[in-house]
Amino acid sequence: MPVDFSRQPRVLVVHGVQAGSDSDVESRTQIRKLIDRSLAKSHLQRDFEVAGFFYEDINDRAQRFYRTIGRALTRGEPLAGRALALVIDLFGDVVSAAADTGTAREIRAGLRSAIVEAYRQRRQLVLVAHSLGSFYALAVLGELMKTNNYFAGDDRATWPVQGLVTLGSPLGLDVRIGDLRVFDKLAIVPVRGADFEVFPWHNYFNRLDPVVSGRLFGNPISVSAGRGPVEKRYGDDTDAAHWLLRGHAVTSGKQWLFAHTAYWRNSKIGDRLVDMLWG
Amino acid sequence: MGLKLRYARPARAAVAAAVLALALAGCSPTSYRYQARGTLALPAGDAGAVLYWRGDEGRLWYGKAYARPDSGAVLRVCGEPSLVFVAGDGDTLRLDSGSGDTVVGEIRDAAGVATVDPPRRVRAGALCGVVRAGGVPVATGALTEGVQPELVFLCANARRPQRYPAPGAYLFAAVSKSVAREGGDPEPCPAR
Repeated sequence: MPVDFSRQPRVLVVHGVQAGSDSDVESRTQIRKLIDRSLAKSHLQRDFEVAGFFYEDINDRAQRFYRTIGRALTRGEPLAGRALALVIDLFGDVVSAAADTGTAREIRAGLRSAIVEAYRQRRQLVLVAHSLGSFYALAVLGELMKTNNYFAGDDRATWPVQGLVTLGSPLGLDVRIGDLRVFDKLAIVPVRGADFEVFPWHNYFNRLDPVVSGRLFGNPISVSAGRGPVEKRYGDDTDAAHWLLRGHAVTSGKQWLFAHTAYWRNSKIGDRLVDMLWG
Repeated sequence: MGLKLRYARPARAAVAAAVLALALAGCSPTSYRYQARGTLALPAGDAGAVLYWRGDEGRLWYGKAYARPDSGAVLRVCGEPSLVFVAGDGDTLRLDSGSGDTVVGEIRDAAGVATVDPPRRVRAGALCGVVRAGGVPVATGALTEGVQPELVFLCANARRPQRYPAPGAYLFAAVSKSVAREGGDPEPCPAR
């Protein structure tokens, strides 16, 4: 089922750490707006679809037991109860991914299935992943590239994913919580037998984003030649695997966690997606 | 009295968190937009274009002065998908080749681009363009107000002839700077 580049392309958006449920996730709408705006500014008309891969409900089901305990512990203290529920929600999402729990495997399987579904429809697909979502996206890409079914050298029609865009990714962090290594370094799998094509990975980050830098109060990191923490950690591996990893340090007039959520309004991301889909 | 004690500590924590969040939100640098306009010679005819990027200037929440630009810049072209310049060695701006691109020009000196004949097919990620000022490749940080960037293009694509302008150097108008607002990013097409 080779990709037919004349068909309507799909952008699949993988969200990051979230509070709330799948219905609260607005990432798909925001990416749609960025692409629409980029096309409109250049007086272009293109047909495309933006789909979201949502996994917050999967995480919430896994955390139900801990939420129940939390509610019992904070009975009669609603403010404390809400704060604890939020901590369980956010912290639990990260621990699931880091510990490669059954929940994490279920999420990866769901993402892999969403990608393969687009491939069966012969549609070009670009993956956009924010924050923790970038960990799942990179892991699933590796799983797909390891099989013999996809990514056959220079024939991009055999590539279920044409490129990856990550936003505010913590993949450059090498931290531990006790014995648990959070964001363990993932293997970068080469595209077998490609002489001219490279797998493009565009990583957008803000120097003030604490999720990117690991700096609690968001003091800025230094960047040279577009290389931030992700590029420093993965650059050698992606070069060896004939990927094209490019770091994009962006600004937003925001700092700390406000910088972490400002990517959704950055017009340059819409421009990059337009380039990847129709350039 | 019991209610006061029960809610006092979490309420104080919530207020402290709210004050910190307000400080982080309010004491932020200002976002500026930088842009330079020009015209490119595409195979189907001349097209308006605008090179743009952003930068933060101001102070961080703890008072430290802070000024940083985006590492890359976007070239919006009237009627065509954008081209994205990224930071390369020395932070200088470069344009990566894409799928199916061939190199048809090479930079000989500050003045000219020489033809490469026959065109050479390159792996994606090869050099297809640079941004210069005063004949020298530059980073976004060097493209301050009043500086005229020169965009140099070196590639072509047989499957997508409109992807690149004719190889050569294009001198754009001087960089202008304004406070960035959401949705206010530039249109490359001339005003009707």
